[in-house]
This record gives sequence, structure tokens and C-alpha cells, in this order.
Amino acid sequence: MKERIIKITIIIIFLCGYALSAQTNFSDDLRCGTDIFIRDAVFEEDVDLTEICEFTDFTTSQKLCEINSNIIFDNCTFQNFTAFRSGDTLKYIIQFNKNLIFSNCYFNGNLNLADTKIVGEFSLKSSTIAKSLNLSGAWILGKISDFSGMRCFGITKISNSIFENRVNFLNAVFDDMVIFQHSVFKGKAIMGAVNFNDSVVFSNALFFQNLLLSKSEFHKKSFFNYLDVRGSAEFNDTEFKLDPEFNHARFLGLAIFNGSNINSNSLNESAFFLTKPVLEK
Amino acid sequence: MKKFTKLFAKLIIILLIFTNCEHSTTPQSGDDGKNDPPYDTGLDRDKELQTIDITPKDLSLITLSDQNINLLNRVMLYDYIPPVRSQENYGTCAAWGAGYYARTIMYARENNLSKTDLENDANVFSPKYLFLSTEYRGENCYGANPFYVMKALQDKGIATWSTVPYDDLGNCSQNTTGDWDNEAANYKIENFRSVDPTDHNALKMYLMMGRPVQLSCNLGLNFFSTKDEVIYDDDYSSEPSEHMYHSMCLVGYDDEKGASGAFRIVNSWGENWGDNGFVWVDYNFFSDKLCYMAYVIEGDKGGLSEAMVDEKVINPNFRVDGDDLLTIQFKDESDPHGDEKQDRVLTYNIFNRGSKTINASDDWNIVYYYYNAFNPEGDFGVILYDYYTDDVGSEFYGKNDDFDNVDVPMDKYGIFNWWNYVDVPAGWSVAKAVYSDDGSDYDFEFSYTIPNLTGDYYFVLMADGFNNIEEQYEQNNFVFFTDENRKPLKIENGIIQNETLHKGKEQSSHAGEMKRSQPNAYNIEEISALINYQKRNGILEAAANKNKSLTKKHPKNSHYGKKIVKAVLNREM
Repeated sequence: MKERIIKITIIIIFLCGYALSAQTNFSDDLRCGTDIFIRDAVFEEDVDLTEICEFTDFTTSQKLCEINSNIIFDNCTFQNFTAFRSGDTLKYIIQFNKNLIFSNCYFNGNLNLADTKIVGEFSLKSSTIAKSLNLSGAWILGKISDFSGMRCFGITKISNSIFENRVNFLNAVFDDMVIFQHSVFKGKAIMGAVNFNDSVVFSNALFFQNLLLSKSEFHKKSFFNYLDVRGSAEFNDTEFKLDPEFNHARFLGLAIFNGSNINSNSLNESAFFLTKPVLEK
Repeated sequence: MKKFTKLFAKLIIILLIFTNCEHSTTPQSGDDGKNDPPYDTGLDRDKELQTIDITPKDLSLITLSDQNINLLNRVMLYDYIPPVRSQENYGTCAAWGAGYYARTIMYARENNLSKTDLENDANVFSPKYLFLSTEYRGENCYGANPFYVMKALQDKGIATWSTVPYDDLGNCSQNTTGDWDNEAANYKIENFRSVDPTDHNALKMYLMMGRPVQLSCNLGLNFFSTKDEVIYDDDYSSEPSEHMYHSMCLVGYDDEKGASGAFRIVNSWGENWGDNGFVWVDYNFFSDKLCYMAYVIEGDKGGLSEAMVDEKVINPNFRVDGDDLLTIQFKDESDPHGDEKQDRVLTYNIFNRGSKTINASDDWNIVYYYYNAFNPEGDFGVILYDYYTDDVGSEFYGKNDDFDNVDVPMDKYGIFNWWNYVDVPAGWSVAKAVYSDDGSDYDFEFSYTIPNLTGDYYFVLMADGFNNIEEQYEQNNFVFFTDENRKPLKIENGIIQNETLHKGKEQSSHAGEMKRSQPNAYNIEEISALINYQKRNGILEAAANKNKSLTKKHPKNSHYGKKIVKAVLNREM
């Protein structure tokens, strides 16, 4: 019995020490610009990069921190993860000059990357966020932004963001509202087989290339008002539990709704299709 | 030919789209090379932040809480909204939100005006007049603090559009004319209050009551080019110092609109902006980012306070049929025997000027209550709970004591609690009834310690604080402890800072005096409703326990507590 207690104590001390050292090294490496690769770590406390980063004056009311490390978290657990702070008079912005990857990670709280600039790739592949995801105003320049297989239980804000290249949401699940309003997608947007369990707002979003929403499920309201798709828009086998709104939407490429249960009345007069939409049941 | 025309039209559209694409939602560019917004705003947020703490928070929803109002799914004040117009290139938004929209909507509702009536400029109010009569407005017609805009509405009123049209504003340095002021005085508001913009149910309740809400908003870049789509988020990528602050008016809501319900806001940028001058804003975005302050105005509440000017209400020699309690003595002074500056002596007495005995079995009380002058819902407490009851048992008839000295469970609402088993005959004061051995008149003295408060406070002595007795006049039950100008007491760590406190009458105020001198102060109906709400919901008792632990403890048999003293002949009430 005694031995068992000692063993458990040693394991606890080891795990705590490991988590602590991961956090400490992470801060140091971030400042030095050393590449960071952390696997299987548990961050017991919130990670707030605005407290770790060294900011310099960017403008009179904006401070900027540039992170030159590649950051890769694999199978890590976080509480809240924050990379943005804004007050009445001062805004703290973080620019990741290389990749920011969360692979198969778990966030017990919120993930806030609002207004961040990511020059490299960004990934949340197979990660789970228990609360909200905020990418509002983010600018991602890398060749891919990968959200495939991720799940978010809180509100997801990907509004007013710019994705310079391809985005991939394949098999993602969103349990609360998702907002893409006013975001710009310059590369192909793969949003197929996504489960939108709550309302979704694509209104005012701009897709320069193809938008692929095939086999996605919209369980509640969906809004595509003033949506602007320059490439093709594929809604094959897309399921809408409630009629979507396409008021003033513009489709300049081919719009295909094969196998989708969309009510053709949803594609009302105010929506503009450069070529006749394909609607085959 | 038809086919060719169709193809040509499509080509033109494509050309237009590609020439505009990336900047289609960006504001127009100004001469200085920066992106200047295409519409003017004009909310002086820096000055507004300085007056937040002196804008009383509204209590309407507390005072209405007994009415069990069920929220409707959708409310629109469209019928009372004047035609949408534009503030043009002037920073006068606060005057538009409060004057042109909120005041006109209140007036239209109170006078049952129709949409056609509202097309007549004699029935809508002038933002120009309101802006010109606002103190501390910005130079060159740019910027105002909503607090001072609404204060101008309260102090001076507002003229109609037909008398003061929105033209020839010049640089807004001109004064209002006598004719304008005379007309404006007819349309003053009774008070203005702040409300919590994150409390959606409260905002919906105001709208259900037909009351528009003036909003202070922080605009993102897309707001300027918004159309008829619900706004869920906005682009705040500009520097904080370049954020645009703007006043607008909340005029409706719809729980079914958009993804999760939305508020309807009317703007002063003309009909070509937004959805014919209006906009839908998602509930979450509304309180998360867009609006940081909200205000309501009260057109004319009327009520009991005005009746205080009537001598028969406050004259103890005027006897009434039925029950009526009247405060005839009130003083609150530094305790000459106290150890600390927080130690004070309250002298008080209540007179039964009705025709019947007020019995202890009525379980009534005298309450000495303090509240933050600008936030009574969040900062309050009962200093003295002086309870008149027969609960203690017949063996205690005629006696009075501390709650701790009798083994009967009684709710404790005060930091100091006292029971009295006495009946108060008609024509007797309460103190005389407690000490009825000789023919003299007596008052109560109560030594107490102010809790560790810091801020602006009113203290109020309430006879029958929980409304157990139905009286002829309720308004004469209240006497406020104020500074000599009826302003709140300034307290730091429990010590009153005002140097201008006088003895007697100057430090106390009846409800009518309060209303005349401090029109934004809470009236007795509000305070009475608040205290009863707090009692019903256990808030008062919880606060008493908390406050008790924060207040200095006095040893038993010290001079602290309630005493009977001979009344001075010349009462100063």
C-alpha cells in the first residue's frame, strides 16, 4: 500500500514537473525565436501570449509582437489560449512569422486568435475547443489553413478574416453558431462534410475561388445573404434542415445543388447567378 | 437581340464587381489619404466616460417587477418613429438620438400621434436646438456627451423642428433664441437614467413599455456600408484611437431575426444608409462590441412626489381620517461620545396623525436605509431596522430592546435591529407611546456607526418602510439625509466628507424638495419599490448580514443603541 502511494506521488510530481517545464521552455523559446514542438503536454494554466511576448510600439495605439518560432503543439491540452488583447486606447497584436499548428489538441476554455497575423500555415486539425474560437480579423497568409476534423462547442467567429490561400474544414463539427461574415477567402474553400449544428452566417463573405460545401449539414438557420463566390459553388448532397437565405448573393461561377434538399424558393430573385444553377434532386 | 442585351448586362456587372472587389466594404477615402468614414458621428466618448458614475442607473424594471410582464418575441416602435433623416456633415448624433428620435417617440406615444402626424414638423423635435443648448459641446458642430445632451433636455427642453429646422448650423457657436427656449420649455423630460446594454431582457422590457433606448456605440469599419443584413461582427482593425463613436436609438427587437435574434436600431444617416436608415444587430454583437452605454428618458412620470408641496401632507396639525404616519423629527449628527468619526447619532420620531391607533400587531417598522445615489440596486443597506410588533409575546407589552435580548426568531434587516411592543394612539408620536409615563413629548436617539462606505450616498428614514399599513399619504413617510443643497453625502471609508452639513432642516429633505433640487435623484416610489423588492427576494436580509460583519462591533451596555430623549420644543422638521 505504502509503495503504491509513493509510486503515485512520484508519477504526479513527474507529470506536474513535465507540464511546468513545458510551459517554462515554451516561454523562453518563444522569446528567442527557437522552433517549438511540444507533444502530449498539459497546460494547467491559461496561456496568454500577450503576457509572454515582448511588444514594441507599432503605432501610437498599437503594440506588435513578432514571433519567429515555428510553433507546433501535438496532442496537448490547454485551458484558455489567448493571443490578442485590446483596451480602450491600446491594442496588442501578435504576428506569427512562421507556422502555428495545433494538432489533435484540446482546449478546455476559449481559443482567442482575433486580429492575429499568421504568415505561415495555421492548423487546428482534429482539435477540440470546449468553449469559443475567435479568429475575427485574423489574416492568414500560409498556403493552407487546416480546420479539418476539428470540433468547437462554443461560438466560432471567423468573421472579417482574410485567408490568402486554401482553407480546409472537412469533417469539422460546430455545435454553436458560426460566423464567417465579411471574411475573404482567396484560395479554394473546402467546407465539405461539415456539421453545423447551430446557425451559420456566410453573409457578406467573399470567395475568390471555389466554395465546396458538399455533404455538409446545416441543422439550424443558415445565411448566405450578400455572399460573393467568384469560383464554383458546390452544394452537392448538402442538407438544410431549415431553408437557407440567399438574398442578394452573387454566384459568378457554376453553382451546383445536386442532391441537396434546398428549396428552390430560397434562391430567390435577389440572388444573382451568372450561369443557371444546377438543381437536381 | 434580347440575348445580346442580357449578355452585355452581365458583362457590365462583372466589370463593376472586379473593379470594386476588395474595397467594396471599405469606407471612402479622404483627402488626407486616410480612410475617412463616409458618414459623420460625433459622440464624445472621453467626456462620456467621465460622467458615467454620476448618471443614475434606472430602476424601472425593479419597480415594475410585481407586474409579471411576459416578454414578447417581437416589438417595434415603428408607429412612433419620425421620418428617417440625416445629420449630414455634422457631429450631432447625440442630439439626433436623444432629441429627434427618443424624445419624439416618447411624445408621439404619450399623445397618440399617427405616422401622418409625425410627417408634420410641428410634431417632431429639433436636433439643432438640442445640440445648440448642450453644454460642453465640441467646436465646429462636432461632438457631444450624451449626459449633457440629456441634461439639456431636462433643464431646457427641446423646440420643435418647425421652429428650429436643421439648417444654417454654421459652426454651432450661436445661442438659442428666447422664442425657441420658450417653446422648448414645454417639452422638458422628467429624468434620464443609464441602463445596462448587456441586459437584453431589460432593453426588451423598455421597448415593450414603448420606451426607446439611446445608445452609445463603437463602430467598426463595415458599419458604414451595411445594408439590410443582420450585423454579427465588425471590422475593428483600425487603431483604437481611430475608432468612431456614435449615438443611435434602439427602437425594436425580434427574437426570430437572424441566427439568434436581433435588435433594430434607427440611425441618423438618412434613408440611403442601411435598411432605409435602420439596421439589424445580432444580440450578442450588440452587447459584446457595438454598444457600451444605454440610456432611457422619462417624459412625465408625475406621481406622489409633486404632492409634497401641499401643506396638508406634511403638517402634523392637519389630522386625517384612517391611518397616516408622518416623520416629525429627523437629525443625523456626529456622535459627541463616539470613538470614531464614523460614529453618529440619529434623532427621529414618527407621528400618528390619523384617526386610529396603529397597533403593534400590524408588524410595521421604521427603517433607516442608505443607498448609492447613482446605483442603489448595487450598493445599499439598512442601518436601523426599528420593528413594531407583538411577536415577542404578551409578557413584553410596552417594552423595547435589541433583537439579541429576546428569544424570538425575527427577520433581521438592519445592521442594528430593535423591537418595540407598543401601540401608537392617534395624535401620539411613536416615542411618546414607547415612553408614556408623563405628559411630555419624546424623541428617539439612536447611536450607530456608518459602515465602511465610499462614494455618494443618500440616507433615508422611512416610516412603515415595508408598506404594512395602508395610509392616506405615503409620501410624508420619507425624509432624506443630504447635504445642504440636497446633493448626496460624500463618504469615504464611512466618514462623511461634506463640510457644508448643517444641523436640522438643512441636512434633511422631503421628497418634494429632493425632486425640485435634484431631478435625476430617485423618487420615493422608486426607493420604496426597490426596498420592497429587496425584502421579498431576501436581498435585504443578506445585505444586513454582510454589512453587520463589516461594521464595527460595539460592546454590550455601551452607549450605542436606541434611547429615549426629551423632545426639543421647536422641532426643526
